[in-house]
Amino acid sequence: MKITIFNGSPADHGGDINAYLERLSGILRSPDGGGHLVRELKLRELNIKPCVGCFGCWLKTPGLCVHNDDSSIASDAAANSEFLIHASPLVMGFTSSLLRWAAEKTIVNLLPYFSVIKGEVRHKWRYRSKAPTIGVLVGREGDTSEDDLEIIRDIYQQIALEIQTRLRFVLDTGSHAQEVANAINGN
Amino acid sequence: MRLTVINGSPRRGRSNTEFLFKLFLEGFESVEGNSSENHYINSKDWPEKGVEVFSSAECVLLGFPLYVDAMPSIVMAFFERLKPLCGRRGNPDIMFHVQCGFPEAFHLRPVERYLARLAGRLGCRHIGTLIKGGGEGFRQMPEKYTRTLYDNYRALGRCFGESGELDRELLKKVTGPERLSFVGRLMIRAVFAPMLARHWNAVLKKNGVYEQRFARPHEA
Repeated sequence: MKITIFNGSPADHGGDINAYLERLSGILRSPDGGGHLVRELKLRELNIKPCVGCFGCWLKTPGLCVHNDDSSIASDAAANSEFLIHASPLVMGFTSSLLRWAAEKTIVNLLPYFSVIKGEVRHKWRYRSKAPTIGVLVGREGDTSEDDLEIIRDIYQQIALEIQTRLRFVLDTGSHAQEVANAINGN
Repeated sequence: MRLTVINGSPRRGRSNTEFLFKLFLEGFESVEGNSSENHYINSKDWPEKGVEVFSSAECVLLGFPLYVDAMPSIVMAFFERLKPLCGRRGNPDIMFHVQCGFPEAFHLRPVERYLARLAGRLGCRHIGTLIKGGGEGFRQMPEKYTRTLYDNYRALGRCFGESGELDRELLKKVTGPERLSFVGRLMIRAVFAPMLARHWNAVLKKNGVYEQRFARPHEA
């Protein structure tokens, strides 16, 4: 299975999520972990321009952002993966602004038209293959509560419904990397 | 009261958020002694300047459009900068405004809960959150369809200007339906979605890319 990890950690050091993702990737690539094709995108290393709501990706260059940044790397990875992990430390109770950037740029992979899907108004996924299943991995802050994690779960659940896929899990780096790999493998 | 208005829409002054804020502020400033100042998160000196703006404010109205089911990245980058202010004495009272293009309000509920937690983290008195479905395209509608909505925004602003609170009944009216009824879904399918499609298609044709509207540039 093709797995992409959006690493939304803002820093190379200071926070254990980078090392955690290395361990997780190692497990997922190993024959026992499924022998998956894993690609980690360190979002902090990409040239990032925030979405400005211009709809150019729908109306001028359909399927691509009109702004000259690395968002096509993220949207390509989202269009061509079967599993997509959003990973970042929590700051102010939510995943990082880097991950927000990657999520807001997935609008390029949607069609502009409104559709009613399961009784709810949505934009249809642009591609023939299904959007990747989503998993969320967070590093807790000192004051992270179960309420915070519930809110994060509900927001990512909405994102998954938005792109007509499923949210498999929201886990934190307190879980063993093997447990996260098992959740990805559906065990 | 001095209201510090922070617009988190990447579209700044052209945004739907800005348009709705103006209506709210008309009502708010019709009460003697009230005034406001406007700031845009999508500015060169933000998010750094935002910390200064926020920490010196008496009362903040912060608004943004829903971008793929949560706040735009520039707004999250601003929230990250506010971390050192958590629990600080003298943080402003705060209310939020979030709107989305979808007609149903349920898309906005999780982020509404997030914002209530955010206010708690900062130790701000949370006045409330105004959420608004159907926040895209209303400006193109004939006046008879929008008059009540605009009047309700002005009334909300006036009420807030007088009492410092958001009127719950007016909030409900502005928010719109939580989910669409069977008839509502039928209307979307039969009327609104085709109308929107005609609008998008006209722009696609004007841009010379109508034939490419379903393009899949990342397909191998």
